[in-house]
Amino acid sequence: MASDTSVSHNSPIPLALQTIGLSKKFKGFQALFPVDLSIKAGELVVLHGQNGSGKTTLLNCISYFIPPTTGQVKVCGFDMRENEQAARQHLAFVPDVPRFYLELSAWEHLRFIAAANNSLEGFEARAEQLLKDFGLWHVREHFPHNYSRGMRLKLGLLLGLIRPSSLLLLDEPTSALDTQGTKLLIEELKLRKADGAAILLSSHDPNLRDLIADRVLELTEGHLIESSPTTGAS
Amino acid sequence: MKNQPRQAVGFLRGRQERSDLRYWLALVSYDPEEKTVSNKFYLLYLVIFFTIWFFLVLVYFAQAFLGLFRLVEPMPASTVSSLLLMITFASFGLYLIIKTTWRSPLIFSEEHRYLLCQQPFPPRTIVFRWWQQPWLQNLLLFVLICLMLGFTFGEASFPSQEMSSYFFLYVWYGLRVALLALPFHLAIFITTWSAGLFALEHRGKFLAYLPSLLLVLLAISGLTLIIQPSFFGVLPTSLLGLSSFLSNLLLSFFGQGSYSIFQTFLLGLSLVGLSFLLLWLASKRFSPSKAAQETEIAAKIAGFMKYGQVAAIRTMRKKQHLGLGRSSRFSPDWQEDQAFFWKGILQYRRSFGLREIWRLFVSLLFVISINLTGNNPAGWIGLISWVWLLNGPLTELLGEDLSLWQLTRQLPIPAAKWALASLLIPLFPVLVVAMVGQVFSLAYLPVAEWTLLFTIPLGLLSAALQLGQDLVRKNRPELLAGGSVQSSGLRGLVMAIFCLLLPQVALKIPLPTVNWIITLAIAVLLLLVSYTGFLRQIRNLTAEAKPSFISLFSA
Repeated sequence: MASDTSVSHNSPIPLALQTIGLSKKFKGFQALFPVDLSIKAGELVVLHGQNGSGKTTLLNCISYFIPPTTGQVKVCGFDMRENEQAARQHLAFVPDVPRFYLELSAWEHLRFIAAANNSLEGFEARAEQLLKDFGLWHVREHFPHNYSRGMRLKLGLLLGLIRPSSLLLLDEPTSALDTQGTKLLIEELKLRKADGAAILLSSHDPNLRDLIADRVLELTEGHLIESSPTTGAS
Repeated sequence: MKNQPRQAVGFLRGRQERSDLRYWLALVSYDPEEKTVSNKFYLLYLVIFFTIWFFLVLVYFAQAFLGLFRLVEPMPASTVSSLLLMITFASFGLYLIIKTTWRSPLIFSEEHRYLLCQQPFPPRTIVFRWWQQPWLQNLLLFVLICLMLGFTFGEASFPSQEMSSYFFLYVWYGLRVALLALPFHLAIFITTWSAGLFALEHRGKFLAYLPSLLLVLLAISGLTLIIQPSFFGVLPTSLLGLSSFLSNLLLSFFGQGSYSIFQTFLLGLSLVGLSFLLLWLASKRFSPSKAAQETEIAAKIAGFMKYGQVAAIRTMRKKQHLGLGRSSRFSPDWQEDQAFFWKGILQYRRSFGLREIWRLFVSLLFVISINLTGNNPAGWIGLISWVWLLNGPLTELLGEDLSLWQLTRQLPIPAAKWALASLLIPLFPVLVVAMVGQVFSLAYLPVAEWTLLFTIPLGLLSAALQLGQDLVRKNRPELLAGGSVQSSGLRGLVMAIFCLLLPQVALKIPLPTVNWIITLAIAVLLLLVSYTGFLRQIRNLTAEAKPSFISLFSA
């Protein structure tokens, strides 16, 4: 498993993630009503909701892939609008359908992400370990477009895990994973949590909710409702 | 009972042919399902309209082609015509040989793969029901060329003042060539299919390519037998008989040879019979599943092409070119925004192929030809064509970065920095080649424009920034997050052309020594405007804080 994954901080970090009145409206359609959300370091929160309830929109707005209509996002105290680059150094996102460059092999994708995040030091050992853990070592020099759907999802996960992060956002990470892959992911997330990373993931998988969630959030038609804390996280 | 497989194959193929035909008819708003009288009249109108339209276009081309006949005077028009007909036959033949040998001549779609290839149909039944549509598609252009050659011969034969009195004879000249060439074209088509089927059966062995090689030699020999005596007049005596037979046969297409129309047509039909015999022999062990395997991508590309999905075709071809995987020894320790340069160089290197070499070569020729033509409208048209050529390739990397929005956007690097890197990487080789062309022109051409040494690089940079900003402008983060990218549009292209053209137009100001200062000032100003516009569009897309001019160049 990957070792050191947290970002070193010079100042005390109040919250890994804080959103204040975060909302999104698409041409007259309110996809997300104002959301106030806080996640502490070392906390794992599962986002639950039916298809179309706004889970992906919330994650996209938190990571500013889609600029929110109203509200504020703070990652480790850094405002995404005012101090975006500093906030992004702490944030990693794993999409539900990862996309890759046609011309880059899996290994080169990992190297590119590590290099862009200024974390090439110790990259080779880290990448080798992750690729071996997730069963992609033998196909590391293949182009991801030749991978199966599950393998592509695994590589997408590795792109989120190869770099240090204090806040990890995952959108339906187990949707195309086999049992072994899900098990590995759970182990990896537990390690990240223990290292102090905050994790917010959307999932329909009851295993993830029951086994590792500290809290479960319910999204219904764009409204966020806090569910009762689970016991699985201990 | 015995005809059942034939009926099943016929039904499947017929359905596909009808669907293809309906697609082409839909382009001219004709619906074959509509059984009204007005629809029948509309069909009649279409037939008359396109007959007249094609006739006029072919006559126009024939008149333009007449210039070629004048160039090779005193060679008789019939000899030139027969020579051109031989070149047409040979070109079509060579094209078909390459196409059918490279992969199976029978192209199966995914639908056929499941419905047809898994059934125990006799192979010959499939082959003999498959050739008609591809033949007709290939025949269309061939017939048009034959008609044009016939009309050109008519143009050369009749006095231009009395052309109207020879109208029917003129039309007959065109139709005669097309009609006589028909069986010969079919024979060539079927023979190349036979060679293709043989190659498919023996794929991987040298033997597979022997018939195709033989056909290539035959086509080249035929060409030599006609061209050699016409231009150089030297031929071994043993080949004289063959050469004279061939030229006589070709002249007969124009009513000048020693064979009558009936004899020529009969000879064509005999060749058709022979070619079908070859096809019958070659299709004995035809494997539809093997053919489906080979033609899967070709069928997909044909489908995409039909609906103008150029980006999908490009992606598919790129995947094919890249293969399974690669490893690179080029791994510099470039971090943060420099990582984009490493990635971009890898991408550019792996996409580098014949198309890119061609583009660079054409860029070199463009710069030299602009120097040759001088600063005038002819040179400006050259510049416009050049920007048109570079339009897609210059923004390809940026487009790919945008399509991976969830990956690129989460990196702690300002979007303006990586977008700029992705624009500059494909521009750099073009810039180098353009400068080589300019230096060459200055060294060897007495008419070379030295101002182009500055205006070309500045103009190219501005053009790339204009194309880039249009690409960014046309995209929305909501769509990019789903992986959907719009390509740059007409506005970007027009602005890019403007950036390269305006400094050249400014050079026309009749104020010697001052005009080049104005030109340079305009080029620099356009660069600044393009650059700030590009940054503004990036800011609009990402809602990022405004980056300072200097911060973009800091490490």
